[in-house]
Amino acid sequence: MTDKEFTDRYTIHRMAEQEVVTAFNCGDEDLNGFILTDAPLYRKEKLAVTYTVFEKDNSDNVVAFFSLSNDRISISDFDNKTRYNRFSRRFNNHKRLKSYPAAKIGRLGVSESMKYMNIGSMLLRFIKLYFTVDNKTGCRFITVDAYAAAIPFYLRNGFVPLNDEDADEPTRLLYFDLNDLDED
Amino acid sequence: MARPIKETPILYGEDARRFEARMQERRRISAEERAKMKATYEALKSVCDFM
Repeated sequence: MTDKEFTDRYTIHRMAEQEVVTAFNCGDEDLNGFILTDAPLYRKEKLAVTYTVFEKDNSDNVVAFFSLSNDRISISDFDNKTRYNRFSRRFNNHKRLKSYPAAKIGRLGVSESMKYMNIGSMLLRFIKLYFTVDNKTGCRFITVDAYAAAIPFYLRNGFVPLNDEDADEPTRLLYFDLNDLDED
Repeated sequence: MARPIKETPILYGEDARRFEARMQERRRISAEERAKMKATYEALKSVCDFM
């Protein structure tokens, strides 16, 4: 899909607190459950804001969505969690952590009827620049809690795994360094 | 309820070192790719109802 085809047909909408999506099917029960049931709860508790993409002439036809949260990537001087916890208990004010601000894509789904039309990649490009060009605060990374089936899609779009601990889990944490977008 | 969104873990040891080393690496997208991204961003921004 070209940029023009997208803008001719769709609106990107930030969901309000009480707003619900009544129909959406991306072929994954869990992702469907998020947008149909959980998104308003995350919004109400200020944990995540969900954005929908719907047809201009039929706002009930949601073709894609993504949810965003504040995040951070923290690195420790310690070799493992046990040593870090032991140290933290003894020295309350010494965190020995470095943290970098990030924005997290909690969920991103594209409806089955719109699969293979490049909408997911277009939305990722939008999100990356939304947090680079128009960001209100500092943000170095985009993180994503990616479903296993979607990992190749994120890798193609420049994301890399954070570590190997969740390699066999149903979702895996990946990140994109926004500095990669800097000009020389 | 869908599966909860997973919290980003703290990185330790080799994971932390690898992450920091990658942060220092210089990777740049091509001018062509940057222009394409910017064009998509400006187009999609124009149909946002919140910006």
